[in-house]
Amino acid sequence: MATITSWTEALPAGVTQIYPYVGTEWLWLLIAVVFWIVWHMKTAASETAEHDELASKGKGPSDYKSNVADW
Amino acid sequence: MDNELSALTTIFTEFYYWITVVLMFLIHVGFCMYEVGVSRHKNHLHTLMKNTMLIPLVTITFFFFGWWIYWAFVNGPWIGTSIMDGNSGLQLGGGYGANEFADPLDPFMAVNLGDHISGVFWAAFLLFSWTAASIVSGAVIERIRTAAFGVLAIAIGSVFWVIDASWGWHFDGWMVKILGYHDAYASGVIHAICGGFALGVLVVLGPRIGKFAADGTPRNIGPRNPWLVTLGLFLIYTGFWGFYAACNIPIFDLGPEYGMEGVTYFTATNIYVTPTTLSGITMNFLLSLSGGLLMGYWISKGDPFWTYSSGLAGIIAASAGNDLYHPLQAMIIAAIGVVIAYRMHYWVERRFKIDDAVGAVAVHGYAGVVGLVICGFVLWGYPSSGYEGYAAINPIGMIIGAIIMFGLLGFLPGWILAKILDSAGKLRIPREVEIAGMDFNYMEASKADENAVVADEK
Repeated sequence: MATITSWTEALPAGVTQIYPYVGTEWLWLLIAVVFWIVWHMKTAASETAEHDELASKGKGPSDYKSNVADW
Repeated sequence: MDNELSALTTIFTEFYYWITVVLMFLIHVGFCMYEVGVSRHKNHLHTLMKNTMLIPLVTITFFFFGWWIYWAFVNGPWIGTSIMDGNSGLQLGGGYGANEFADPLDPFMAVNLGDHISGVFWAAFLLFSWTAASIVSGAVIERIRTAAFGVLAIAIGSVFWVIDASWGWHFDGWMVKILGYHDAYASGVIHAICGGFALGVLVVLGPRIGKFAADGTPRNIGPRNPWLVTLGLFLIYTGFWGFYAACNIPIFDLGPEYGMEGVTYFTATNIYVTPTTLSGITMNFLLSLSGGLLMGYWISKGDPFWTYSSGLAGIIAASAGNDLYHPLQAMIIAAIGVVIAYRMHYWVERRFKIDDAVGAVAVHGYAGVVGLVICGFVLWGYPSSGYEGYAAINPIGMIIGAIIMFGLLGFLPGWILAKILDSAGKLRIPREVEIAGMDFNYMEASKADENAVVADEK
């Protein structure tokens, strides 16, 4: 829902907050915080899985050299 | 804004901080290039991602609570009395810890036609926060888990450095009032604390495999790409210009601010609202850079890595007082800071087997501490503020301040958090991964793609 429908009415009235859905900031904050926490959990688990898989390959310190691409 | 003068002043200030934010972005570009240049081929991409991802992590947490901390904790806990009141427009309301001004739900924390400054000022501080986390990032490359670093980056970037800024880098901070702490361009509040934090993490994290011989002799690992390191450090220098400008308030009438009746005195000020000039600090920036480069080249016998790093360390050492120093004082202080930081780096490395991959603890931590202590002596007796009742700048206050920055808010939280992560097995990558290289899977997949494309082309 638009907070502003007419600039000629809003500016003389001293309207300052012009983003949509004024008053629902707490909801956006809640969604953002949940997204942030879930991001940590998911990416940490993904990193651990990647490490476990790579560790199981038992590669030596110079093995990566055979994988240097030369596009 | 209801008249041309106030509109011009407000919009100029808004644009001024916006420019500093863009300039400071180059610090992060520089840090990314620098870290990748120092890391080995098999770790490049993970090194880059680790540093890059601190940008969104610190940004969102600085929005959630970092900015709130800065305005909420100027009095301690339970130390000092705030001079902010309703007249300042910054009244926090509700006593200690309350803070409506920087609450993420506050109307000022959004597009607001009644406020042109909060957002760009928030962003300037946010860029300082990125730098804080990025300083730690370089020290721990090639063996820390990215997830663990994310937690540490948030801790230093959105919590601990912000607390120290609230205490000692705020016109109402208790360290300024009671200790006479003065740190105009953040020798301590960014650099010493981050050096201390990095050292605390490094103690727990341990060195990279092969860094030390069996008899404890340190070995040099890299830099692998000196050109990336060179460009990175030049970009960090460039961003540092923006940082210096961002630490100032560009135009302020100190007459009514200090309660001087009938006096109008427009000037630029530092973060403590005491007068300085952009012109003067530009000279001091260049002379302290030069002092650092000259001394770094001398003591490292022309080693490019240390010469460039010493330019940075020189600026950092002089930064606490660069709002007031003579340029030649800035140059000499920079040179002294570099000698001590360089010597300390190698002594700590040999004595405690600390593997600081980029010299971050030395360049930021030791140089920052030296800068604070020297500032206490050179600026002894200067007022720390124009407001009534503040302690003057003095050596004891600055030494206590250095201990708070490097030790209490830097080393200690870094060490404790690293210990917690380590005890959960979440701090360091597995030994097999460190040996193979963190990018092994990426590189293997890329090589397979290359082979497949070449096969088709044939």
